[in-house]
Amino acid sequence: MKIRRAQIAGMNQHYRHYRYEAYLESMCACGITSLEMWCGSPHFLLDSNGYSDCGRYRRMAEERGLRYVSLTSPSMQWQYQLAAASPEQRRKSLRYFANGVHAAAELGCKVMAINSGWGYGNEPREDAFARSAEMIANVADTAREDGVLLALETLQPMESNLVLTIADARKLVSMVSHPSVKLMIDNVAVGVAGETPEQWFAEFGNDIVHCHFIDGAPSGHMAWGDGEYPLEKTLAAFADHGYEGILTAELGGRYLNDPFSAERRNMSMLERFLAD
Amino acid sequence: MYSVSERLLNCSVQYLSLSFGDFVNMQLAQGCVAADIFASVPHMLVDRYDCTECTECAGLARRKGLRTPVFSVKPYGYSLFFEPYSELGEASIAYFRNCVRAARVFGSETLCIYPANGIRDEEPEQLQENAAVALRYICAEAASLGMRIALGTALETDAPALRTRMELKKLLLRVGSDTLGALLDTHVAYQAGETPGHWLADLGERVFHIRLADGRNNGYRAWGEGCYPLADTLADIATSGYKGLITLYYPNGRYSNDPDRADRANRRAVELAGERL
Repeated sequence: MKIRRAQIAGMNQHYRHYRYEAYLESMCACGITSLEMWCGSPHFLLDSNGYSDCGRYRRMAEERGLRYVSLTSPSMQWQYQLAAASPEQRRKSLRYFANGVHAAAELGCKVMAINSGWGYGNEPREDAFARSAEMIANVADTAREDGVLLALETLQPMESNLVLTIADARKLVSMVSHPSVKLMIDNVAVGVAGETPEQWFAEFGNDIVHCHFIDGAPSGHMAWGDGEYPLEKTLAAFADHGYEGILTAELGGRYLNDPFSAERRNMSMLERFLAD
Repeated sequence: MYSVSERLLNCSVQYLSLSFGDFVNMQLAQGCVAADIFASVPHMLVDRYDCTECTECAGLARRKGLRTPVFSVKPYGYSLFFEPYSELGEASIAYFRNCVRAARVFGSETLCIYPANGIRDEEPEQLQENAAVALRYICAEAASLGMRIALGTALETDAPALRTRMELKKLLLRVGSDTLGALLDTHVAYQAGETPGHWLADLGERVFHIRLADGRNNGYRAWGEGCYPLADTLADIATSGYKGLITLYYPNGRYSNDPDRADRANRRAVELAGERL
């Protein structure tokens, strides 16, 4: 059961107490060569009117032998989400996610990770589903023009009331029905839902184009070894289905004070499965 | 002695799983005539460009008879600690200034800012200076609109600086604006090993607003579910001579399914403790 080093991507989300350059140096020190850009503060400004200079970020990465492979437009740090309800929030959210697609393309990413967003707690769930589907379809039109795939992940119940399970994800991608909308596995959300990667591959097959690959207990977005998920068995599930996409280490808030050692520990667990 | 219970405000931060209209209706049903507005989506979008949705929300509150004397900023990814003339620094200052304008739309007198985010590998002195520059811009906006800013301290997990009342006191002096005062958040204070008594003794009339919350090491709680001494807290406030408003502020997802019930129980706990003083 082997994976390629370039399949493992680092992510800057848990480095948000430190400068972006410190994150890049940490990637180099850990032997990580692929990057997922988390477009959050203090590293990258993305909003409804624009985004940071991607050329600068690309140069910083290339100078260190790194390359961007995917991008996340955060839906919890900023004001925008895909199931927004009011006309003003929908208008600005659409522009925000479209800007995320443009930034992904400029950085050289093939995939932008998205989630469904969420609705009000006391409205019919169908209403929020419809809003999410409509907005994702609109963002997907931009993604198709820019040559980027949108990869939909599920969320945990504490994060959303919309797409939490395989059935929810199937329903939403069917509603959107767009060639640029694919799926991704977030191990933790999948585990919290009581599902497995095997079930996801059985349902979605080659439409799974990306993965946030972390440990959990069952939640937590942990470095491998800090949680309870079986690493070798999980990797085997990906290999058995011929998955050759990215496995991003989306480590969570518990590592904000010392993301560096968490990254090292996570990578040391993955090293033994590397083919190169 | 000043009665605490007459000056309590609920806050919309507990109601973000519902619409703003639901929040207003529930406040009125609880018998509240005033509230602290937490400016966040989905209730209203305030960004660095505009605050157009606030007009509709403020109009709704006004028509229904709910006063909004206090307005609380959601930090999102913005920060007072960023280098003021960097891309994110300028965006942050523009955002907070826009929050001042949004608060004015609500007729609020006090804008509460929680100083989140920032980079830890920056010198403490530089972080203070960055915050001072940003706050001078924000205070100028507030002064021009006849408002005042209540600035809090931050939890260790949330910011690289401004975690204690002494750091805050130093920053207030550095900014040098009568428009700027302190926001005492009892959860943040207790987590820093401080008490409301310390704060009110050291900062006196520069305490512009109080957030009254129970809590534990992992977050805010409604009173009775955390670890802080409610009776002592209320006694500190009552004996200090603090005359301002007090927000019952305890953002925590565990209450989002039924914020109305949580608010009623939380307020009752505070009122009962206040009656025993």
